[in-house]
Formats: sequence, C-alpha cells, structure tokens
Amino acid sequence: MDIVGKLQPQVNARLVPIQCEGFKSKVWVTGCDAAFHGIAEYLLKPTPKQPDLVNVITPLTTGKLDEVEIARLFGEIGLRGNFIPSFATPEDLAQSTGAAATAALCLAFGDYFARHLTEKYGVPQAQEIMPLGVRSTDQWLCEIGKLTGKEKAVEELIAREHKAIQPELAELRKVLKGKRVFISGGQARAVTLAALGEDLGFEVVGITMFHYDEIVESNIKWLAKHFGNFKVQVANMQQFEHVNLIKRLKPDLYVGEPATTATAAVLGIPSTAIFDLSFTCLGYRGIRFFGERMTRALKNPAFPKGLSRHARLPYRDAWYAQDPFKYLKEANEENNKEVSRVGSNK
Amino acid sequence: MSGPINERLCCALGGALPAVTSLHRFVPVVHAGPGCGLQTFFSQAYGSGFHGSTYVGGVSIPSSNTYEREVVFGGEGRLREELKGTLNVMDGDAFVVLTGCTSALIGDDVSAVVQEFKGRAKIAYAEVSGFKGNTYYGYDAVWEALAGQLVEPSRKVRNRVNLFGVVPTQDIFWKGNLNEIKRLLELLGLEVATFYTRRQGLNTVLSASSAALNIVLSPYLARSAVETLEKRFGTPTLRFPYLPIGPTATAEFLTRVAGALKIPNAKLKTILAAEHAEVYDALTEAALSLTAFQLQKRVALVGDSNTVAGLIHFLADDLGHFPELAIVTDQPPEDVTKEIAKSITKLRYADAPEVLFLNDQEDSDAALRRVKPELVFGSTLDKDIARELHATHLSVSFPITDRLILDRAYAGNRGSICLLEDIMTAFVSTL
Repeated sequence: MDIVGKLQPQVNARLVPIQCEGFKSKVWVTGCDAAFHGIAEYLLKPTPKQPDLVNVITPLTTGKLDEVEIARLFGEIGLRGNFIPSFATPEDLAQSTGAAATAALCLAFGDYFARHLTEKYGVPQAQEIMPLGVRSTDQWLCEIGKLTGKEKAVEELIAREHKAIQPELAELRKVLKGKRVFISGGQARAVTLAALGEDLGFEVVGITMFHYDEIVESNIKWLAKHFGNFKVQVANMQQFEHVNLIKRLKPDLYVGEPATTATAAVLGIPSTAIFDLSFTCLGYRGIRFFGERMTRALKNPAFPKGLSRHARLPYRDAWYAQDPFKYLKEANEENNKEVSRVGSNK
Repeated sequence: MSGPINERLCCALGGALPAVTSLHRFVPVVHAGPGCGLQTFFSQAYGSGFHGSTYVGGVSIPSSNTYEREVVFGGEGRLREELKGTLNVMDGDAFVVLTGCTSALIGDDVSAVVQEFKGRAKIAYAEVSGFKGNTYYGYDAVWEALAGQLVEPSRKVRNRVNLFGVVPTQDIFWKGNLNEIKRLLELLGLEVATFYTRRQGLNTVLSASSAALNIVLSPYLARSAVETLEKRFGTPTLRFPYLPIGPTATAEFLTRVAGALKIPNAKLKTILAAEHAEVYDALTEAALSLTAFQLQKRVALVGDSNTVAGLIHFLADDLGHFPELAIVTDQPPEDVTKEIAKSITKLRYADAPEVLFLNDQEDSDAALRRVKPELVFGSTLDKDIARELHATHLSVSFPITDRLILDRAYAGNRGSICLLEDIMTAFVSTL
C-alpha cells in the first residue's frame, strides 16, 4: 500500500493495489472480490443519480455480444446498461455509484461489488444470479423492473420474447427431450444451465459447482423439485472425482468448462462448453445458442466415439471402482466447517 | 536466463509442465499453490496453437495446492499426502514432482519426501519455482532432473543418439519438427531418442545413457542435462546452433552429425542426393508461383533464437528473400548472444540483418515500424503491427492463437516445403 502511495504522485494513471495471494483461498471468486475491493476503495465516489442507468457486472466468462443482447433487452424497457468492469472505462466505473440498481451477469462474480454499492451508495442490488434462458432471464428482468419501476414494461417485453422463441424451443426439444445431461461450471452458471432443462426437455443427472454459497440455494431447491434426484459435486477442478462420477452416471451429454469438455470426449461422451465468447450465450438468445450446440453434439457423436476407442484417461482402472468422494475428509478444528481434500487435484 | 516473463514466455513451471506431460505416461505432481499448474499449463497449451495433451494435462495434473497453513507450517506433509493419493489414483509410468514458488520460499525438503517414494515408483523432482526463470529454464531443469535422477546405466549402442533442445509447446512445431529430424537421422542409420514422439516414454528416458551422442539443436539449451549425461555416462555432445530448415541447413546438419559419428562420406552423399531430389522437385514445382509473384521480400522475424535463426537460413539462402530485421525474444544467456547473432547474420547470399534482443512488445513494434518489412514472421501478437504496415504475416513463434498446430513441421527438408506452402498461402490469400 505504501509503495502505491509513494508512486502515485509520479504518474497520471490511478494506481490500485489488489491483494490476491494464491494461497489465501480455495475459492477463485475470492480473487474477483479482491479486484472489486480495489476498484471500490480507489476509484469510486458519489455521482449524480441516473434513474434509467442499471449497473451490469460482467464476468470474464461473458463476451461483448452478451452485453449487446442485454443492452437490446434494456433498450426495449427504457433502461441503459452500465457494463462494468469488462471493456469499461474509469468513467463507467465512476458513474456506477449513481445508478438506479445493480445486477450481475454472474452473481458469484458480482455479489461483492454490488453489495458495496448498496451499502456505501444506496444503489439497490438485484439478487437473481444470471440472465440465461427463459426462466432465469424472466426473473432477472422482473427484479430489475421492480427496482427501477419498470414492472409493466418488463411484463410486456417478456411476453414478446416468449412468443418469439417458442417455435425454436419446440424444435430443440425434439432432440433434447429426455436426454440425460451432466453440467459443470461456476455455481451460478452451473445451476442456470441446469434450469434450461425446463424449456429444452433434458434431465439433469449431475451438477459440479466450483464452490457453493447461499446465493444459489433457492436455485438448487428449484432444480431438486423439478428434476428430482441428481448428484452434486462441489469442487474446483477435482478431475479425478469428476471423471469417476461421470463414468458412473453415464450421461448422454456433458456440458462443462472448456478445460473439461475434452475429458468428456475421451470418455466417449458428446460435450459442449459452457461459454463461447464469440457468440451470444446469455438472455433469451442464449438458450438458442446452448440448445443448438447440445443438439449438434448429440446428433453426431463421431468425434468422442472415435476418441473413446483409442485414447484413455490417466487414472488407474481400480480408481473407478472406488467411491468418487473417498478422498474427502473433515478439516481440522480451527476451520471445521470447511471440507478439504487430498489426492489428485489442481 | 533472466528477464521479465512476458506474453512470449511463461515462468519455469510453465516450461517444466509440458516438458513432463509430453513424455508418454509421465505424470507431473505440482507442489505449489492452487491454480499454478492449471494456469501455466493452459497458457502454454493455448499459446502453442491449441496443442492439448495426450494423457495428463490441464485439469488432471495432480497438485498439492499449498495454502496459508502450509506457508506457515511447511508443505512437506501435504506433498507426502498428495504423492500417496496420486500413486493410488493416477496410472503413470513415472512421476515428476515440480516445485512452485511457495515451496521454495517455505524451504520444503522436497528431495527427502521424494526419496521416501523411490521404492514405490519411478520418481524424480525438479525445482522450477516461477521466479527462478522462464519457460526454457523449466525445460532445462526437468532434463537435468531426469538425467541425474532417473536415467539408469546401460550398455552403449554405437548408432544411438539423444535429441535435445526442441522445447515442447514453446517451440510450436515441436512434435512435427522432432519427427522430421528423427526421420533425417534415421537415414544415416541412427536410432533416435526424441523422448517426445511416437510414445517413446519411460524406457527411452531410462536408457538415454546408451546413446553414443547427445545432439542439441540450440546453442544453450539442455546444458546441465548433457553435462550430467557426459559426467555419468561419458556421452559426448554435438551442438547445432539452430533448427535446421531447408536443404542447405539440413545438409549442413547431417554432415556435422555424420562427422561426429564417423559415418562414411559415401553413405552421407547418397542420402543427401536422395533428399535433395525430393526437396528440389518440390521447389521446382513451386518455381511456377515463386518466380511469377517474385517472392523475394524484405523480411522481419520475431521469435526465439532457434526459430529465427532456423527460418532465416531457409528464407535467405534457399529462397532468396532479404532478411532485414531479426528480433530474438527468448532471453538467452549473455554468453551465447554473440554466437546467436553470428548464426543469424552469417548468410551466404543475403546481407546480414539487424539483430535485436528484445522483451517488450512496444520495442519490437517500434523496430518493425522503423524497418517496414513486407513479410513478418512472428507470433500472433505481431499480427496487428504487420497489418498496420500492410505486411504479410505468418505465425511461427510462441504464442500462436490463430492456427491449430499438432503435427506440422517446419524443420528439415519436408518441413521446409510445408513452411513454403504456408508462406505462399499467407501471401496469395491476401491478394
């Protein structure tokens, strides 16, 4: 901190110290929180109120086209999105304190900053976790509507969007109905993608979330009600557990991080990645994107089938016969609420 | 080998990981903080033309994930626990512990922990803390570790050679290049340990002691590895100062290897004649387009010393281009920069280009703006400046994110034809 203080007078650019030592936390969003803490402490100050401006917190896993889609939806209800911090200028960050509300494209990523804006500048925060697909985008927009007094306009927008997308969803359901799908990703992304099953007709057999906290609790409850029983793994890239679990569940389709889709392919399971920054993956258009990708992966499984006959994953055969969660152990007393693990991990 | 880590170079762990995972059925065990293994592996994999792994890699790399508790109380217990779990779960022929920054700062006795597992598996360790050096340091440290800890004594085989100096993923075309060099050396009647191709794996590493010669395609890489092999097994070393590309450099390379192994001159001549017939047939076919478009350009190159020096000889001495600027980005040790500059400037037909050793994109952009080349060979990072200068650009050095590279080779004779196709394609596709 002192170093930054001493250097600041020598440069025009604002210097922001961010403390994010890798060994401090098992949870990657801790680093995002640390970055937002730096932005909040060093770059914000009160600004005039802008009643039609909504902060939209953008994680690294969303692209410019996602912003374009959200801006389109906002345009239809007379709101403007202040997309931060991806592609944002210091002015965009600064004006966030005068916005009418804050929403996040991924609440796991944006929650810390949104809370800060609420507590320090009185900007109310939307609690919906991610605008993707029909149900989640509806809820996300409704909450923003409530916070900005646009309930009526949101209601009409939702009706129009539903009408426009129904024929495409019906086509996608023809292929995806009853298919058993495993989903893996950050907690908000994973539960939101799972909820697409309501409209696309697939079943969820398992979900891996990189961490778990209360922001997705109600979503998990809804998924349990809708899909009945499914397996949940809470782990950040514990691939040896993950593969063991997937081999047992034998899903028809795997949806996961780009790093893990190749692993599924070696197992012979068609797979698709949970985001692609070159396409619109969010909003109502997002469900089309994922529906189309899932459909293609299922319709022609030539690539994973070929791989599974000739490639193998680096685990002992004996490992697959053991409990996938064998290496989980209760942590020691000082942090007895936490579960740590031994064995192969990242 | 010091200097800043930048977009063209990862830290030592980033070089060590692919040096281990590219060995068939070798399992690295990272002893570092959470994310170090995954992030460095993927920065190398995505930057090397999207070259993924065949076995262990990315999310399947075991790691001790040392946290604050280990930083305070030491990480040896955690490493021991991790190794036990890894040996139970992972199906590998050999295991290599790679230590990261925290382990070195804590001062863990990794050697002692690894020693405990010697009876259970083939195991070695390399200290590759990020702050010790760059990607090349990581490659060198892994091979020093394998040469010192894993290679076993064996009987010498007269026609067997080890090949070093082609760094997996940092040399984007490593796999194809090793295959082509192997093909060429086999013409001389040699058995070639590339270690990284055709699933050579553990047995080839264990019996690296049997080689009659270590061939290193670099003026400085694998120094400690070949010194160790020389000390332990008396194996001499032949260094060729760059990647041989094209008929002229390839003939020189094969001549030097033949000389070192006392291969009869008549045999070498026959082999070179057959090779030249093949490569010059292709060049004769290429003459149709090369002369029609008069592909004789003012050229700039940006990349590691091996790639830059290798390319320049083919471009200047086989094709007739005019190299004007060579920017070397691999931060070679100071005692070899003169030799590298000499390799780059000693051309038969063209004038010597300006040679710069640079790390900063801003500096390399400025140099390119000053020289205004017509043809730029560099990384994908240099695409923007090439576009600004209306120059044709081809990605040949790390990082490459605009091409998928798996088995493509630029080395040797067949590689040079491949390279010529890519140059011409880059040129005519913009017409």
